[in-house]
Amino acid sequence: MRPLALSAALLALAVSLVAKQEPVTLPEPIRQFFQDNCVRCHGPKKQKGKIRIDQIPTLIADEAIAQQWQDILDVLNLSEMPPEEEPQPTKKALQDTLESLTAILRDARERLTDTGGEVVIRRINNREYKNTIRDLFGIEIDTSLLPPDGALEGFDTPGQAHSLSSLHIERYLSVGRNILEEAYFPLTGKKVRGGSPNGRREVEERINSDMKKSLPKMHIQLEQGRQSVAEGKHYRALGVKTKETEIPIAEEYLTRPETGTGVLLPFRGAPGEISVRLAPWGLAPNGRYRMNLRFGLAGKEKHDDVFLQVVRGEPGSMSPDEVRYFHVDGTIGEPTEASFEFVADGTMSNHFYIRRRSLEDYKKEPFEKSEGYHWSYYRVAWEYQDEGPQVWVDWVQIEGPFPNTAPLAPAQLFQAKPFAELTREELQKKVTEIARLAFRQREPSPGYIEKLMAIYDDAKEHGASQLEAFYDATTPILASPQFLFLHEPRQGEGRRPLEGMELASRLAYFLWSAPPDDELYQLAKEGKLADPNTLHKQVARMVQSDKSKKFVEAFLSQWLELDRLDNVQPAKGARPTYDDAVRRASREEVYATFHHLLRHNGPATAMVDADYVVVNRIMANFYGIPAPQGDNFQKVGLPKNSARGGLLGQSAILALTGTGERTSPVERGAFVLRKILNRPPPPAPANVPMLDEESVGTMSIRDTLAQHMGSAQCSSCHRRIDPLGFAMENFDPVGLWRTEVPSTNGKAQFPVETEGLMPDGKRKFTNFQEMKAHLVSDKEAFVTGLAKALMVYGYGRSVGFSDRPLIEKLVAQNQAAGYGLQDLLTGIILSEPFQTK
Amino acid sequence: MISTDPLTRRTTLRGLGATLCLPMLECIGTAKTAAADATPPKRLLFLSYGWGVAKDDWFPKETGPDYELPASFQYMERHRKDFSILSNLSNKNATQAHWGTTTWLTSADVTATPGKKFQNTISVDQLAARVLGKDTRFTSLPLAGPKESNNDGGFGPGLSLSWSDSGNPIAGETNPLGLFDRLFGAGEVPLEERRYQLSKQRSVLDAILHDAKSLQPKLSSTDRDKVEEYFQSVREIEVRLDKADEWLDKPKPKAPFPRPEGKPSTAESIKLTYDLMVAAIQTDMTRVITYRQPTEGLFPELGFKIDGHKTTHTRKGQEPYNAALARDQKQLELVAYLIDKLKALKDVDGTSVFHNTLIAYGGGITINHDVRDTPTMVAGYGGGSLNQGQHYRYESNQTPLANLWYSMLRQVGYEADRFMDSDGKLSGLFG
Repeated sequence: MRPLALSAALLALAVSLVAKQEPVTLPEPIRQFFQDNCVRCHGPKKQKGKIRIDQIPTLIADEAIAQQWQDILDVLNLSEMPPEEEPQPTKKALQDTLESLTAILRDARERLTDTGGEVVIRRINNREYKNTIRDLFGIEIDTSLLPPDGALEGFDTPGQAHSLSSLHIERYLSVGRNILEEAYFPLTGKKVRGGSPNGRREVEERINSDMKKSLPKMHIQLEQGRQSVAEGKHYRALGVKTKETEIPIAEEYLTRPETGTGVLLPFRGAPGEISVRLAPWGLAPNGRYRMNLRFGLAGKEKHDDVFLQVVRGEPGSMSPDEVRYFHVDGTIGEPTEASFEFVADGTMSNHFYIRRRSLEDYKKEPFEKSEGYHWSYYRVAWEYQDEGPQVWVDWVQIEGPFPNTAPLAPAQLFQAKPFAELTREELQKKVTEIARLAFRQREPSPGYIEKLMAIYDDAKEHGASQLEAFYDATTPILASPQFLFLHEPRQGEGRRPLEGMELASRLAYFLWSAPPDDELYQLAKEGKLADPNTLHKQVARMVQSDKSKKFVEAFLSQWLELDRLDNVQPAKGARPTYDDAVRRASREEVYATFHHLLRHNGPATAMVDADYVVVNRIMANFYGIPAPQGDNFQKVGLPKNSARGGLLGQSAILALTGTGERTSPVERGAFVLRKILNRPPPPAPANVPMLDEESVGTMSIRDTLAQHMGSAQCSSCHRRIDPLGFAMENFDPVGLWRTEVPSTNGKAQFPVETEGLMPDGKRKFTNFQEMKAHLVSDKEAFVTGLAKALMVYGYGRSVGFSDRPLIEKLVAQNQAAGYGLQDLLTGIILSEPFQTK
Repeated sequence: MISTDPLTRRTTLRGLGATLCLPMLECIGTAKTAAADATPPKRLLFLSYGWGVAKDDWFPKETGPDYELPASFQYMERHRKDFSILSNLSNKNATQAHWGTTTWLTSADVTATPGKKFQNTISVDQLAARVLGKDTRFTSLPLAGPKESNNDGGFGPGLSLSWSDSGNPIAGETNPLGLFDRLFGAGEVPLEERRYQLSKQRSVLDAILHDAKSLQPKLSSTDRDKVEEYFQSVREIEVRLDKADEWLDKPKPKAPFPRPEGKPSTAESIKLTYDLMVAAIQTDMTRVITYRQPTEGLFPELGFKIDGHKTTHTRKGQEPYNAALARDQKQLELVAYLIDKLKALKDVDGTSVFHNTLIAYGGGITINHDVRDTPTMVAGYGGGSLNQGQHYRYESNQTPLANLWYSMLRQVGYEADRFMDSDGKLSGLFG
């Protein structure tokens, strides 16, 4: 690991970096444009529409002035001015004015709305609430009844984005009550709900006995069917559902020696899949579980791309809760054992289906789909002619529930003596302790505890049991501001450094989306946390912890808008190797790559270009590169000149900018501008007519989009956007390499043309690699954009104009240290806004 | 077996047929003012959604009463005399191409507040609720669908269509089951128990307020705004408890149908929400409802593999347009269903609840990035007379949408001189 290169000096530096907000002035060329084209009718001589442009201040000192210029920009964008009968500006002049005025107004607005960088008090958002409850009580909860969180600049952490209405409070109270009843259920002395899931399941038993029982019936039915046909009736006239072909499959299946000890999948649909429930009747206590599986390849042939798929979801559901894949590299003689952990939280299904991953390669035409079958599985139809490798599954075992990561306030807290025998004083102590834990180690005030105990007394008086009264008294804790808000009280005027406990909370919610653990609390109590060396070590420890996955996933999915991947659906059969397994793994690849860099303090710039990727076997097979061992994501070196390294070579990024059926060079180009070059294009102006991409039929997308250049309104932005997207046209809609691109209606093919100009309008490129080389030389821009996004997420506030000097400083510091990603994160944590209130 | 028609699955509610006027009368009778003078209450419903519409099949070609019903409205034929389509109303302050609902009911210019990147203002329903919500258990009932993944479903910022006094988003109930429980809760509870529950709820609010007050002296000015939101929310619940106090001797109305089960499809959840809206009106729990309905899930249910964003960037003849049209038709089919239900309910004076209700249905995006000349439909009479059954075409790009909100406020008796940028009552429909 590279030494972390930030020092406490940065903190001192940062304090002096509060920028002054100078208003923006319109530059000479824009003023000239209005002079040349507008003032004749809207000036001293004439004031058409009662508008005088020459009297609108060019110094944008307030919102009202900004709004006047915005109105003028809107009119220009709509081509309403100058009127048709008047002389028109040249396209070049109009285009430059539109671009520059749009940028200036954006900048002006940022300056005018700058809040000076104070972090507004923030509520824990719904993700953090769920994690907080897990850490407090050790239970998994459903937060879907809480109103959804808002977002600011795409992130759900800023306080400014969090509203609070009466529905929130009602729901915090009702959800909180359920949490307490669930967490302290053991105190009722009742038996845990649901059956015990433990034990090994010999998966072949039920399948074999069902099949043996069915076979005689199937023979009879088949005979009936033949009679029907002989009598000139339809085969199924007697409700016959058996196909001749099914009987030999079943008979063959039962004679295979492997089926005596395990299940063969998919075996032309005979068993098709194994269904496993968490516990009898699907009911089981909430908590953490582990599923172990033992399986191997049935044939003698070796295969690199056979996977066992475990789908979690309700029977017949089209949207599973979870899907996992395991590489099948063992054999029946030497089977593989794999295991995975999952949580039962009462909302996710407790049904699991085990199948072999089906790739289109293995599939032939579906087998007379419309007819009935004895086994009503739709899988029969699909897999009857499946000639792919068979997987043998020996057994499945479930263990659990395990207590969840040593909760802070578990039911065991009370188990020294039977709950009903606790005295009022003892109970008050417990209530106080729960409040203190919920308030992140802040002592609740005696007055507050009195109020809670008054509720307890009232309840007892009304005949409630000790436990009911205890629930009543503790429920308000989970709706109290000290629990819901990361509260950092003001002390006198101006900024102050955070106290240890406050810093611990900010840190833990930043890197874990959860409250601090004992180690952080301890350091905070001892007053050691503010020490930069301690913080370095803590950041290193925290990103190694599995809890940091919550940060990585939340940050990346919001920053890169990975949700858009949900809408990517290639047409059936069009991208045979892109299945659900790849789509899921491609999202994981983005997380794993970032996490790899974070944990190893690798350069953030590796997200622009790298000579390696971090993939699992599924992604490696999809990309056609050597696969790592096992099912985990690992670093794999790339051949020279490979286009893969960096975000822009990742299937997830290439796919989410399109629909899965077609690429969108505009979306891809905009992505490069927003995320790689830190030069976000303005949102498309309202009411400007759209380019109609679909109606141009057999034109190439490149020629279609050339229409963007026809009008100044479009070209003022699209001349910067579209070329970057064209450079990526060698990647198909799911991110595989191609050399031809279909027309917009898919009826003609064109060779990929990638040449173009960088947004500076100067540097040329002829292909993707050359474009990427330019991006690499602009890597500082990427790191600046990344730093800014991390700051918004981590500070929990928008990052505005007055932060610019700080960002520049952080990036310069990070550059000097070789762009280490962990360094960058530590730099943000050591920065003044993070360290002060 | 999964039924191909999502509306006939088990979540569909039965028992809300056309024969409900008797028990309803009893329920309506419990409203204090209504019982006294037998004047039925007036009600406002605002229904909206994210993306734009299949424009060429939404707006009629002819104006006046004899217009040919556009394809989007095919299921509305039976209500033809009781609604009007309004063309060319514009929310002039709307500037964001993908914000369908943020300012639909507020007509605000969200960038006009100095020092703020975004500041909305009170929505028209919340204004109306000041008058219409005085005597009901719920001052107003903002509803929404679950969070939509793609570009926020074209809604833009906000948690429902409703915005508070101070321009903060009001969270909408997103879950029909949650709504059911909120309206009809624990069922029949004895008076003594109700009294205790109420006092317990007050004690709970008292405790959390105590905690909130302990923060207050040590807040910076920006933090104070946030904590003030907390106080305001608690106060709202207190007001509700005060009302509940007044209602103490009257048990919470019984739900007109059993608590639904299962996970509804999108179409089912809209229908279910309409059922619950009707139930809330039937039991006079509220007179002002806004509903920001989900639409993203309708596409797969209608057999389209597409997302909402695509359907707003399209034109007639293309696949995304067909998806948009199918969605619009489904939505309006469900609105027609809602109107059926409201027509079947009789108010205290024998008029239909529909007659005493005014429904606005529409959205802030027309198609593409056009946020002017937006689609609007108005049904019902708000207890008065309206020139319904026509297509009104106003001057393009000139007539503020706020004129509609202003007219609706006046129609239900809210005394205002204007609403935001309104410059008068909407001619034609409102006389």
